[in-house]
Amino acid sequence: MGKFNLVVEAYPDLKANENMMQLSEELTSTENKVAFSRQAFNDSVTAYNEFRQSFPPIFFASAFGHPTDANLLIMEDSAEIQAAPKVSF
Amino acid sequence: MNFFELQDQAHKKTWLLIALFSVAVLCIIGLTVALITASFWGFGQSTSVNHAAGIQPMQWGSITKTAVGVIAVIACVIIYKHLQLSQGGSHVAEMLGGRPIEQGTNNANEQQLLNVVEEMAIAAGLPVPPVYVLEETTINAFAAGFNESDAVLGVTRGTLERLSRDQIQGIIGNEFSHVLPGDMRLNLHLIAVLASIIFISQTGTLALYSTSRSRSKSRGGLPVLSIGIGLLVIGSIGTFFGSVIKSAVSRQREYLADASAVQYTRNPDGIADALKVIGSGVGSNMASPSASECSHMFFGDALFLRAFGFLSTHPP
Repeated sequence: MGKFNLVVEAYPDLKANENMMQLSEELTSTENKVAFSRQAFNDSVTAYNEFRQSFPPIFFASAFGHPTDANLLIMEDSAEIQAAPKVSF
Repeated sequence: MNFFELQDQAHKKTWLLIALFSVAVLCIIGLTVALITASFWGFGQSTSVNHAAGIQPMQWGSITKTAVGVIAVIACVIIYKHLQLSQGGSHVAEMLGGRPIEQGTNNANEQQLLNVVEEMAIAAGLPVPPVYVLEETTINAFAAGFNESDAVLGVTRGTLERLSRDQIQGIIGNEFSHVLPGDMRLNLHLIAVLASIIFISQTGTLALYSTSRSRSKSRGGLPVLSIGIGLLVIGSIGTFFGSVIKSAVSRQREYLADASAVQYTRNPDGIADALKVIGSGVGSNMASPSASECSHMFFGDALFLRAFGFLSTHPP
């Protein structure tokens, strides 16, 4: 009977642990999605600017409505964004 | 050298190889035309003497006709192979025995994989493809499909169980580079053209076979026999060089994909560690019988061709 009790008592802990793992996975994924969106945007901007300034396009860019470089997405609080959120209960 | 420069380098080498491939195919077509005209015309000359006066116009007319015929046949084979191959990625995944992962799966590994795929789709700026799991214990992954909208990703069970999140991310980033416009289509064109060269040697074999059976009626047997041998030789040489060039292209695309994986994840350790795990004896060979047709699509070498370095579809 003692053994049975142990199993029952251990069960909520186990379940919480699994939920915690799911939660941390979701947090990681969401963090990554935000970071990758920002990164994809900045990569595209860089590619656009590089192409705009390359040899033949630089002469025609303004005429076709691309007079200026696009701006990179820069966050003023990037240090805070970089830090992963802490999970504690 | 950073990953953008590495990508540029791989692009340049690819186009060089494509040019080489085109030249090789044109040479093969030219040789075939020359062979067929030579044997038919040579045979016609030896049997009928009164052709002698009209040789020049006859010769050019028959060369043009043969050339048109050969090119038409090759075009038919290429189009047929295209139709056969462009059935969409899910077809390939199911042929390999893959099972699609549903949204909201209970398996933690599968959920993690779905999340990683979504992340990489965002990083690459592509729609999220359906994901298939192959029940194999080795580590491998593939991307299949004609364009980015019907692409699918397939990952083996071994990958999910043996690799960490960062390593899986590296592999998925690598596969996404293959989904990008151009890469899978390039592969498809190469396979289709290669199939037409293989078809030449198959025709040669068929011609040889049919002459050996109808040897008794020896009328017309000689040109067919010589064409058969000629086609077989040309086709075999063509297939050999075609395969070598195709494998070289494949390796360049793989370097490009590795550089792109680093661009998407900004984490060179992930993919490097994944490759180390594969290299450390877990292996990437696939057990599925259909794997050989699709070897070019995989993350690691699906077949045991490493012994022949120049035929390997992936860099060592």
